[in-house]
Amino acid sequence: MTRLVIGTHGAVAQALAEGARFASSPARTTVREIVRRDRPTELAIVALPPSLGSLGTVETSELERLLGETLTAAAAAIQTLTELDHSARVVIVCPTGGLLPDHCDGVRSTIAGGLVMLMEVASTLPGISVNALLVADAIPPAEVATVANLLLGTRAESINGTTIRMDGGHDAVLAAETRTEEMD
Amino acid sequence: MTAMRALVTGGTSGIGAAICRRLAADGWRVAVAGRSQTRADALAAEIGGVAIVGDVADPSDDTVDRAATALGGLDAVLLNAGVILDADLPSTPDADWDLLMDVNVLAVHRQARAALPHLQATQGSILVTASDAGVWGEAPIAAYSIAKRMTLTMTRCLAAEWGPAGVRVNAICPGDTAPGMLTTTAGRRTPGATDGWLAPPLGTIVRGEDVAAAAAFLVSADASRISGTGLLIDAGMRSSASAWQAQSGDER
Repeated sequence: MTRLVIGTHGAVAQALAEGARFASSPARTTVREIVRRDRPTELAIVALPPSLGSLGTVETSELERLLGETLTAAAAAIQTLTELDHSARVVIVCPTGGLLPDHCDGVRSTIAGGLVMLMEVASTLPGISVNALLVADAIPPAEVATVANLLLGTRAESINGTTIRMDGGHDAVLAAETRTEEMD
Repeated sequence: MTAMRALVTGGTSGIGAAICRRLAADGWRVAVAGRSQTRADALAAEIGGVAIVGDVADPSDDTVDRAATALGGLDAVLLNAGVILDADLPSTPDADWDLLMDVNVLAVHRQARAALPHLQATQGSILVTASDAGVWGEAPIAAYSIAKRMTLTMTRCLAAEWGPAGVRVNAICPGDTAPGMLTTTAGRRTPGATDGWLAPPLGTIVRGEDVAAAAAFLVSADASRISGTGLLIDAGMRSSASAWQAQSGDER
């Protein structure tokens, strides 16, 4: 098994990269070179940049920059993976806004929505399985790595094209966090 | 009564043209925006609107401001311009990926932001043309599906963000539509051909007029309490995992 972790974004990527190759600053062309070189059978794409806030306040050029660093790089990695003649498992780690958008975190939510759809369309490709792990910022990196390792491993071969949300139940129902506040 | 004023980007053909005609028939003054001067002029003349020529993919494009000036304000901005590519993910060239993101995502963001001050002044609304492929993706149009999912997410975020300013933001999600993007975008199949399309449960392919009717409703006062929605107009195609088999009777 050869694991490659692509992502610039902090502790989660570091936790997943233990014993694996790690590529930061993923420009599209660089990603392609790395995937061809390493021929990974396990690919973790970590797209957890710091929040840029809401969509209305950010310049389009910032959205474009983040899109290039995350979604475009992720798509390039998966495209390149399909060129290789072996099976591989992929996990995309991104913010929870990819399922239930958060307008206060609209930039990341928009990109995460694209990453979830990337996972969905890529999961149909032969030879690879792709899943998404949507995580809240407060979740401990080691816990994220535990679930990501499951999705990357051969014990979860039937899991493909699915989304797991790790937010402690925050987004399960409207204003679920008020329960925690009341309990405090 | 003063006519309501709308800008429709990608308004010179397909679904956009149908929306322009419907809004004009409903009494709106319409700015028909597109890249083709000839087509914009022709449709504007037909419906008594104004033509705005521009390319939304150009970051310096000022279509929204020019339309507001031409119409004396805006009550609705319909961000309809889009491009599609027939390709699964491995077959998507970088240049096409970039174009899809530029037009279908980044231009929507840029023009929505440009529209906000005009719509805040009139308590108006934005309507984004997304796609049923953004609701439930299609691998043969992978990059398009990804871009349209982002468009839908953007719609929901902006609806929450700009609701307090009195601006509604919604999306329409057309299925296979004739005439629409599938029949008018250069390089796609035979223009006008709908053979080979899967029949939706209602048994009939969606028409541009059907999408325009939904668009007209969502920008009208009748929808004044609707914001953040993505309305499917797909004759039921996204209603079930095997909806495409309903007409053929092939259900298991």
